Amino acid sequence: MRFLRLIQNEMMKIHSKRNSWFYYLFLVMGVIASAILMKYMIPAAGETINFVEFSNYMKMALAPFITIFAVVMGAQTITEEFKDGTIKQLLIRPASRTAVLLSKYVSIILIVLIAYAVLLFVSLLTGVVLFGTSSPGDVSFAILYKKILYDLPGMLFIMTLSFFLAVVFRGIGLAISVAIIANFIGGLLITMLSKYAWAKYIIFANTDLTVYDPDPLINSGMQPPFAGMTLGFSLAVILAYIVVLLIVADLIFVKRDIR
Amino acid sequence: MPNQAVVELRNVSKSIGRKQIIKNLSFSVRRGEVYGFLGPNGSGKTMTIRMIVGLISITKGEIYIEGHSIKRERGKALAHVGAIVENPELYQYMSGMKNLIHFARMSETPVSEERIEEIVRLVELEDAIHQKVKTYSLGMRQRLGIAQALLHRPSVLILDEPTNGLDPKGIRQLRDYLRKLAKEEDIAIVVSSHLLPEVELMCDRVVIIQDGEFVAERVLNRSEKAAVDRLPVVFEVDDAGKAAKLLSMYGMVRSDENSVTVEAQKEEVPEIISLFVGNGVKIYQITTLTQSLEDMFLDLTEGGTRS
Repeated sequence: MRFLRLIQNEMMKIHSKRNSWFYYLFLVMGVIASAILMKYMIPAAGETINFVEFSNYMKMALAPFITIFAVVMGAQTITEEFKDGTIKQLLIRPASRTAVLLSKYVSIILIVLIAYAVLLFVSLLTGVVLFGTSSPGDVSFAILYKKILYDLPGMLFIMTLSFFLAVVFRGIGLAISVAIIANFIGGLLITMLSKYAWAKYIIFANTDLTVYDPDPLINSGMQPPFAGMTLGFSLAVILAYIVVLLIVADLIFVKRDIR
Repeated sequence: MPNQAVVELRNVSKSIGRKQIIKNLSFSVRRGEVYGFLGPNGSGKTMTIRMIVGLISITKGEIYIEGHSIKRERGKALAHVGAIVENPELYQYMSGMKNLIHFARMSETPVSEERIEEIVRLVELEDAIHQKVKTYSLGMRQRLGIAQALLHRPSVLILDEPTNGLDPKGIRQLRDYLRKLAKEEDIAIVVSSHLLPEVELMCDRVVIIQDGEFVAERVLNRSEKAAVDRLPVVFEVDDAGKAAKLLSMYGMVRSDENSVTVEAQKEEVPEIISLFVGNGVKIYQITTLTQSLEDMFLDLTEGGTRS
């Protein structure tokens, strides 16, 4: 299929850049360094945590970095083609501009999933080797997977925002910084606007999905920011924001004169 | 079908804001010919090429490639196009081979591995094809650019300023290569340039534009074709004013103290002579300006700076 070939191309380009491998390497090194530190700085750690819990800690510590990679790559995939001038060679092919843009977007999603898989695999493996499987832990596999699944939609939104800004403004610095700043001040914004009921439609009131889980190990004692919000509602809001950003990005990308 | 137009521009205009950059431009390129697209820097060549390959929108008019409108059937039209727009900008962080695989995957018709190898041999990059493009010389990048443009056997090859940065030897190689390609593969080749001498020998026909407007179109240096081409003919006469009046039916006439210049076909020259003789105008000398194109071009590119 034609669209699959476009994705193949994007994956080949991403993985031909040395930077992309540094991202994976960073995750691997982060896990291994943390494991060694925990093992030897806190001697008791070996008895109190097991490999799944270790993996859970690593997810909490390193997932924000995956968000940053996603934001950087989401912006880079567009801005680099403009910067290098290769966008011209890319867009003089039969494939429509929409297909090219979408193939880039889907490829970044794949990269995020690969990064999570690397993090999970390496942290579990390191956990087994250094902390073993014996000690009883509160965190089960099911909890760990759920937490990751709850992470993904919100992360996807931030990545989409960065991607959108890169398409519209073609500046990598702007796209990355706005997306990351939005990610950090979003929660604050919701707290400030918490007295208005309409604030529940703001994306940042919906990006933390763990609050909908009944398990206190997942929701960490938090409640949804507004009464009456459900998991379905938040997912719908995130999806709506993503779809709107993608449609606007596409309309602009398709119409743009490449000079 | 021989002589069928592969690329056709019909009254194409491009405006950005209020400024009209391309004005009512029309020309067509046939299969098997190398077509020069000439104009001084800033005359709108690159803008026109970008409209042909669908990178920028067309404000007015139509562009057809193999009969498909680039506006309405973009995909079908571009399936027949191979191009290098501006410099051969390829992915520097990948090998030449990966670049070719990348663009082969974007082709409408499948490109086999054998075809890729064949193209690599054609552009003589066998030894360097697995090295990263950032290690390539400009000439090698140029050849890789041509390779990616030819992978899918396009019916038109568009090269924007291909001689830029090439040394005379490189230009000659490119020239021989393009001529061969046009004849053997029977494809149309469009070559833009701001330097006439660099492309003069590789082109069958040229069009000259300035400020986004058509200036002239000429058939080049193939003797049998030259016969039907209109060239400026200078008549040195005793009464230039009278001669100019007599010539008014032949189109634009330039005259000075003792000569008149008119654009005429070869077979019209005897007619003009008998016209002069019949009206008592004395002719001292007749010169056909074969260098007309170059002169015209120099006038355009250098303007008033030439003495």
